[in-house]
Amino acid sequence: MSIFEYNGSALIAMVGKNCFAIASDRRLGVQLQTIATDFQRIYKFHDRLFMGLSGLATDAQTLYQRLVFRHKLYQLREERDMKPETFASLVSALLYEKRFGPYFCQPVIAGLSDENKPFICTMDSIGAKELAKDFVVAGTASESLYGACEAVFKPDMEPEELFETVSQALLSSVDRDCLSGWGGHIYVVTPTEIKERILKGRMD
Amino acid sequence: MECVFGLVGNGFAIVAADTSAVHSILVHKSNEDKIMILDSHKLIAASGEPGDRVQFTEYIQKNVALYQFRNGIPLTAVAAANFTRGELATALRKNPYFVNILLAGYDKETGPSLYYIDYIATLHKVEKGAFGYGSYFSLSMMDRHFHSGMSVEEAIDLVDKCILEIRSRLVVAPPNFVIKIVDKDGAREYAWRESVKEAVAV
Repeated sequence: MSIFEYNGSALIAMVGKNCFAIASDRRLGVQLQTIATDFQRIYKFHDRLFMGLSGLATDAQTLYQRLVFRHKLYQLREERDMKPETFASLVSALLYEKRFGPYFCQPVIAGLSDENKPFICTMDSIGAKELAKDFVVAGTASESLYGACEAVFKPDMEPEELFETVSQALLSSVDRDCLSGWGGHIYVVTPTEIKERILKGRMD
Repeated sequence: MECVFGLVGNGFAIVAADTSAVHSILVHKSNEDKIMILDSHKLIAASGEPGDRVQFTEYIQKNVALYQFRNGIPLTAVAAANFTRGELATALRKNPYFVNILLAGYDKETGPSLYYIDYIATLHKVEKGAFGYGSYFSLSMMDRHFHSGMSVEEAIDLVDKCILEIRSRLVVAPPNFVIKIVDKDGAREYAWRESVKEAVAV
């Protein structure tokens, strides 16, 4: 079994009209065994920047700790929050540092950049950035997620419609993947508020 | 095969571990204590490579004590769990420790807690956790009978159900178990469950 499939994960980030949604599943497993059904994969760095980490859970936790450290230092020095594009470059650099002994993670970054324009990107485990205008996915269910998102995506969705769309895409994809699922965790972020919701799906 | 499991109840956390020290087909001893009392209100139940298990848990215990000496206050359970994870994560890509840990603790402010830390340094706070082949039986048993806020009697009953299941269904089932508890009065041994007494040399 691949090291990326050891713990199981599913992540989506999708762009709407002046807003974005980032969603993950909630399962933490060790190969075939489920350890927990409330595992946190999406982290908030500031009110306009979120990152989800799929792949090996231990590396996701280590990488998160290193990034929050770098971001806090940045906040102290620059006296402002990091822009999503800058943060993406930071993550990419950190991952490439370990080119010949990488972190087994695929990050999904979502944020609101200048003029409240939503920004999403993903990268592979060695930091190859992939910017997208519509949606990005990662995790063991990524193939299903690509298909589901492609089918239901529409440009310029309002926050409520975006929430429904991302929920449907996430739940239907993880239902076909035994390593991810056990509910969903979704953040819908607009310039004025962050709505966090827990989804109940097939609990298996 | 080593069996370790634990759960959180009403104002306490309980962990149980088998007590066999096995080397290939030989059982060296059947009263090996795998649950270390980390400090007054913390327990570490560890399973895995025997040398690593003892060395690593002692290293954590001494560092936790050092913190208390230096700072005058004990570490919280979450802090101890994160320190343990940090040590495992740092060693992971150099010289990994093959030790799985269930850290049970009690803090005055936050109450009882149980942390699942596997050998590749995945940390997660859980209400019930288990390692080893025994986990296939104990986790299922706990999924069926566990509920939040169990009393000590109910929890011990559940632990005994798990031990019974392991003994009857696991092919190389360990005969003896030790149960330790941590609550507001501290971390201490609760009971042994022995079905084979250790032979005493004459």
